[in-house]
Amino acid sequence: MSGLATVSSEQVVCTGCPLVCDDILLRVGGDAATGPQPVFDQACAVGTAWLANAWAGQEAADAVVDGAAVDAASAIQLAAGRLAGCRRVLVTGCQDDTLETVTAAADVAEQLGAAFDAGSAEAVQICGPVAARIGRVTADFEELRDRSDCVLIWCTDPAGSHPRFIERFLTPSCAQGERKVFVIGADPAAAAAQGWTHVPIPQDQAAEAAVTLQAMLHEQVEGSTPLTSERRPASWHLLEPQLAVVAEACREAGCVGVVSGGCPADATGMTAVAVSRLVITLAHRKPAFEVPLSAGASSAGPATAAAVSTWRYGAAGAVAVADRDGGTLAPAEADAGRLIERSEVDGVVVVGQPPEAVLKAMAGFDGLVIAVGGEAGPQRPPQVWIGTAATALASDGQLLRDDGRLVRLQAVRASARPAAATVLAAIRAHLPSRETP
Amino acid sequence: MSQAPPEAAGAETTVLRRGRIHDPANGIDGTIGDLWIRDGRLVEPQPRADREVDLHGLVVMPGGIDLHSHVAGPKVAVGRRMQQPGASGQPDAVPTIHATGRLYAALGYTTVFDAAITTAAAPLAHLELAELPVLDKGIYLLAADDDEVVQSLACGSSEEIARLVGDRVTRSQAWAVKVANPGGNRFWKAGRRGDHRDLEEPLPGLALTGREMLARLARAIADLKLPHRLHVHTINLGLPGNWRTTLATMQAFDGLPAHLAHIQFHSYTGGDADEATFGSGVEPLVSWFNDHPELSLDVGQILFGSTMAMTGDALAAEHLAAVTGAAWSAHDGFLEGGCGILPVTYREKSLVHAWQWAVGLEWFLTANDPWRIALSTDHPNGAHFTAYPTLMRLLGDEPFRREAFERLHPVVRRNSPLGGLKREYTLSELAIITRAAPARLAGLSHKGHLGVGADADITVYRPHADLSQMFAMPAKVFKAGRLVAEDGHLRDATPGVVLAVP
Repeated sequence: MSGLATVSSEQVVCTGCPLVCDDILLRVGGDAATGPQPVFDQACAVGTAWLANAWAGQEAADAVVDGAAVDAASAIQLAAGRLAGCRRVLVTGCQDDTLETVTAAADVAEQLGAAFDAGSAEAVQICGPVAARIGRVTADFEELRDRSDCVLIWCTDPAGSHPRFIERFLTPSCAQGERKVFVIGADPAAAAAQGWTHVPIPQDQAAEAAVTLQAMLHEQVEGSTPLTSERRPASWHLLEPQLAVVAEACREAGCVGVVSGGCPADATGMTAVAVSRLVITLAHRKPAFEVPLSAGASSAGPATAAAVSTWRYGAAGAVAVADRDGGTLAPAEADAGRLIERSEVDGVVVVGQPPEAVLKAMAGFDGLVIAVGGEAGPQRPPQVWIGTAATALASDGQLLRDDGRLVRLQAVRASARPAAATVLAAIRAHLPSRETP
Repeated sequence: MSQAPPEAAGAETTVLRRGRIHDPANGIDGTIGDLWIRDGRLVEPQPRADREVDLHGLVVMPGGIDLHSHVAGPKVAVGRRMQQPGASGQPDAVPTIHATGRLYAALGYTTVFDAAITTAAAPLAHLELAELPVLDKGIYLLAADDDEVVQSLACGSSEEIARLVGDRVTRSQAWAVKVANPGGNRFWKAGRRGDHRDLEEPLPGLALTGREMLARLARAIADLKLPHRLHVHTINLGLPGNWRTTLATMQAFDGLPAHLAHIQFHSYTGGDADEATFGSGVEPLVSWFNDHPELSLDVGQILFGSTMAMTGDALAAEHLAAVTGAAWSAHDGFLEGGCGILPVTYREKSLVHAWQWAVGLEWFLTANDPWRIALSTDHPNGAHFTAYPTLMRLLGDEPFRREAFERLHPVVRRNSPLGGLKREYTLSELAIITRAAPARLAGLSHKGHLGVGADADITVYRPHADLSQMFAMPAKVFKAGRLVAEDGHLRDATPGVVLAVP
């Protein structure tokens, strides 16, 4: 055994996508020649790259102020001083952060009387607030795995947004045995790869397809009369032939699961609303639920930020003033991108890596930018950047998966940097106090 | 079973002088007296006080205790997102966690229990509750939805059941065990919704009936000596004719203590889910209740207006959503039960809603032992907790109640026994059902009274002929001896302690 590094293994949590896999086993092997080599059992390619990067990553500077490396304590003090001088501040980001970090970010926002946009799916997509008004019937991912003998993947690509979703929650058999899976959408590749049934629906007809299927399911109800042509959706004659097999499978199924995504093409939210209505209709009749996956998230996702923002402000994001007595969700007014673009704020605190839209808006922003964690934006470097331990290097935080399930982090290794929550708490401590309560 | 000491006001001694004290647990009913406070608790009279507060002409009671409310956790979050903005001047149906504490404190309440948290959601609920200002707080765990617990209820020994239930309660930092629709979520998930209409049908895939589940859980809780008895939301919530299964529930415990939650929603005559046959089923239920001191209840009164319904009873929520056509959110948890959330508006001209209003008040006015009743609206299900003062006036002011009764649907006016009930709650009885009884039923020996050793949670009211005005805005509220609210304004937002079984 001489010359071989000690082999160790431990369970870690991958924060590389909103699935937040907590079944990853890190094994460290190698020999004198190679040095320690990590292997991440169970991890997908995205997760392996994410975790390996965190495992091997260098943490060069503690903090940077106006382009010069400084120690974190100085940067924190300076950040607080500059923020205190701002007319109006926005706190945003929080896309891949723990409950503890988001809470600390919200504390900073409250201390400053700042706008707070946790950048959740509800804030950046109009579908969120609309869906909230009509309701949504959902379930944990494991319920889909164990109960759904009929799954409809509605114009989304779980393999792209949540790489292990199929392996963990669709490939295993359910309680009833065989599972029928239909991929509704334009691209046949995903269905072909898994041997599932592809139902060709153009992306721009995703909402109409859901409405049509809802009408078809209505006609299935015993004793109901077929809808007259006037009452059928306009898209009926186009889509009913393709959807007939889906409607029949829904009729036969013991439990229907609908996997949906925050479709980037769904700018009006109509698909999200139509799918939610479809699932609600089904669920009034038999076990059925939707499993909405967050779209376009490159890391742990927005559910955590949405949770904190909701209990603090009564809204899942985009509140004009961080007020614990209740903020009104105002995606058109308090959206981070808009506030920055319109120069309604002169200071921005970015926690973690901000969404693309915020980065873009910051390109033309000439106010103060304080970045806690994440990387300096390519278009607009912040004046103050303070390094924090990435979520992959944190063992003392908790995250919510897309389905709301709580996951306790297990780091791939310890970080020399402080947790983001600690940095934010320190900034807050240096801010002028506000009257309480 | 210890209770955490209150976050004390410090070592200074305060005396509240010359208040008119209503402390029913200690047999005090409107006596003028002083209260001495030190280290957050009530103490014997001291040689001197660092601070004196003159309460001459004011009414003094222990801080209010809400035995059954919904203030935190995932389903409350969904309710917050679903609700329409509150009307001007009205609190949101589901306030933020901070506003919840502020409003409760301003109302004179100092302790609240969230009545339905799953094992999986408990850590998140505690993070949220940590930000609840002022109030001490606890959760009731939906342990009977936990898959392993259900399996053990079906085939485990009583020791095994108690061990598992105890483990879940401790791990979840819970105060009590709640069962929401015994076995209902099993039927829900199995797609057998219509099969769960009584307590005798075995749960899908298990040799366990709802009745057995209740009896075994009650036994486990007695064996574990948990401070609060089994907290039961029984089957058929809101359905016509459900009084029969409620009576069967009352009879299921074999003499063991049990608490029946929001009894109003379970006390209807009628049949076959036909709302047109709705009526009051209180009489046979209250008769049994009055004869069985091991039972207690909270009423879950509805009050007219808009609110948000939320429950761990997925079957009931789906039924209500189907009946009303309202927006409906639901979530099924892995190895847990489910939940449902939907907006609801109670209207006095509605036959069903008018019956619900009358049924709740009939319970309050015909149950003969206020020490076994807790005032609740099952916030926010029946009404927002800020409506408690209106409810207290309905109980204590018969002309006001009669006036409200006269506005109801004529069928209810003709048929409800409420029209003939003249009873008025006294201040002492109102103090019992809002603080003394909830404390006793929850097993909070340091709360709900103003004796030496009690937490110095004290509410001071200005007497007023209009009880709703009197109770809506206390002059002063003390929590662990600190002045936390004054004339509706929050003075100190320090969070209270978590009440958890050690």
